Amino acid sequence: MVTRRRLFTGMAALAAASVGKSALAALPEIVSSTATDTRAPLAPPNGRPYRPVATLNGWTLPWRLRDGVKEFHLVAERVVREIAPGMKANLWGYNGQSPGPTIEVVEGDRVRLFVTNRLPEATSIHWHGQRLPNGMDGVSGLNQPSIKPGQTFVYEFRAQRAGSFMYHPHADETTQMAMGMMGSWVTHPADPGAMPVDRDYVLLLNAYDIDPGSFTPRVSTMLDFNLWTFNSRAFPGVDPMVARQGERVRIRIGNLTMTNHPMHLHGHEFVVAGTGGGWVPEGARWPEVTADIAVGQVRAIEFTAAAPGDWAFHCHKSHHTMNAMGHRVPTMIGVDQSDLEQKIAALVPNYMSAGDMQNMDGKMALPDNTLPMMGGAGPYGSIEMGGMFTVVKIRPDLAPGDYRDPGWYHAPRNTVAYLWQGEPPPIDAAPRPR
Amino acid sequence: MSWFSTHGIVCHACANPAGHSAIAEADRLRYDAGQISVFDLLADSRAQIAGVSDYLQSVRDFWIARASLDAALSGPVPEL
Repeated sequence: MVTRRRLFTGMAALAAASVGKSALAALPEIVSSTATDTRAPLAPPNGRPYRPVATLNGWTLPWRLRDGVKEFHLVAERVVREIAPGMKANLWGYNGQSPGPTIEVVEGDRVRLFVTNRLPEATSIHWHGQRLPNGMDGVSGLNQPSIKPGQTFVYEFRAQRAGSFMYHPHADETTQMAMGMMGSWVTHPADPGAMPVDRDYVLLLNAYDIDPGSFTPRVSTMLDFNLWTFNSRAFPGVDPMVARQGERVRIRIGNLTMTNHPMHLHGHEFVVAGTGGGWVPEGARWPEVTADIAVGQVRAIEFTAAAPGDWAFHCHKSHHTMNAMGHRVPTMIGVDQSDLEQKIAALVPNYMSAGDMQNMDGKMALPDNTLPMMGGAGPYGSIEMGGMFTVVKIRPDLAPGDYRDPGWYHAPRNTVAYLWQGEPPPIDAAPRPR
Repeated sequence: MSWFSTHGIVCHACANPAGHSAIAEADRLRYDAGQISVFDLLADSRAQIAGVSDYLQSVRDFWIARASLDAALSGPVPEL
C-alpha cells in the first residue's frame, strides 16, 4: 500500500515537473488525488496541534506553512469520480476529486487559499459560514470579479470561529454544484482539549442526475435527481464509519443538495452538538435518532459508540437510499402477471417480471454505466439499499486510530432474528383486499 | 421521388430490424434496471411490428407499381 506521504510527494513531484518549477515558485504545490477510499486522518505536520478529521471516501488537503500563514492551493478542474463500483461520472471538482479535499485549520489561523481555475468557464469560491472580510466572501460580481479560465485568485482571512464549514462556487452556481463542485472545511478549536471526540467524520450530502449510459450529470435538473450521494459516492460505494466500542464519535454532515435530508442512525441516540453556526451549548442539546439537515446547513452529531454491531446510517427519505431508477414506472403490485409473463415473453425476448427480478438479487445485466437501484451484499443477503446509506461498524477490539473496515459483525448466539420452526399461525379465512 | 429511390428506402428499412433489435435489447436492460416499465417494452414491440408491417406493405406497393410500369412499357404502342 502506498502511504499518504509517498503518494503526495510523488504526485506533487509530478505536478511540479509538468508545470515547471519556476512557474510554481511562488505558488504552493498542487496536491492531487483520484483515490476513492477514506484516507487516514492527516496528522498536522506543523502549526498548532489538533485532532484531525476523517473525510468519508475523501482526504484532507496538505498545506504549506509560510511566515505563519497556512497556504492551500485548490485547483477547480474536470474530474472523473467513481460513484460506486460499476459507475463513473464526469464531474467538476477540486484537486482530482469531487468533492474537493477537506480544508483543516485551527481557530485563529491565518489562511491563504490560492484558487486556480482550469474549468472551461468562470468560477469563484464562497467560504460558506465563515466570518471574513466582505471581499473574501466569494460571490462573483458582488464581492470580487469571477475567476476566469486559466486565472489564479488568492483568498486570505483569519479562521475566526471553530466549527464545521463548507466551500462551493458562487458563479454559475446551479451548474457548478450540479457538477460536484464543493468541499468541507473544519476549523478546529484553539484548545485541542475542547469538545474532544475519538473519531471525527466529515461528509457532504450531494446529488446528481445521470442518465443510464451517460457520464455527465444533467445540470438543468432542479429536484428530480437519480443519484443521492455521500461525498459523491453512492452505496454500496460508501465506506463504513468504524469506531471502537465506548468511543465518542462525531459525524459532521453538510448538505449541498437541493432538498433536506433527515439523517438517521440505528441503535443509538445522538445529540446535535454543532451546526454551521457554531457549537450548541451542552444544556441546549436534546437526544435524537434523526436530524433533519436543510439545504446549506451543517449538523455535527455526536454519540457514544455503545453497542457493538453493524448499524445502518442513512437518509430517511427512502428514495434517497436507492440508486438510479425510473420515476414514472407504474405500480404493478396486485396485478396478477402469472399468465402474462409468457405472452409478453413472446413479444419481448428475455422478458422477466419485476417480481422475478427481486429474486435475482441484483444480479441481472444493467445498461452501461449505471448502478442497480438497490444492492450491496450483506452477511445475510442483499442489503437492498443504495444512495445515502452506509454502516457504522462498532467493535470492542478495534485499535484506536484504526479506520480499516473490520468486515461484518459476528453477532453472539441467540441475538439474531430467527425463523420460527414451530406450529404455523392459523390460516385466516377472512376475505382480504387483493 | 422516383420508383427506384423509393425502393432504396424500402431496402434500408429491410436492413433496419437488426438495428431495432439492438434498441430493443437496450430497452430491456433499462427495464431490468427499473428505469422504464413493461408498457414501454410493449410499445416498442408494437412499433417494431408496425415497422415490419409497413415494410411489407411498401414492398407490395412497389411490386404492383413496378408491374404496372412494365406492362405500360411493353404494351402496344398507342395508335397515332
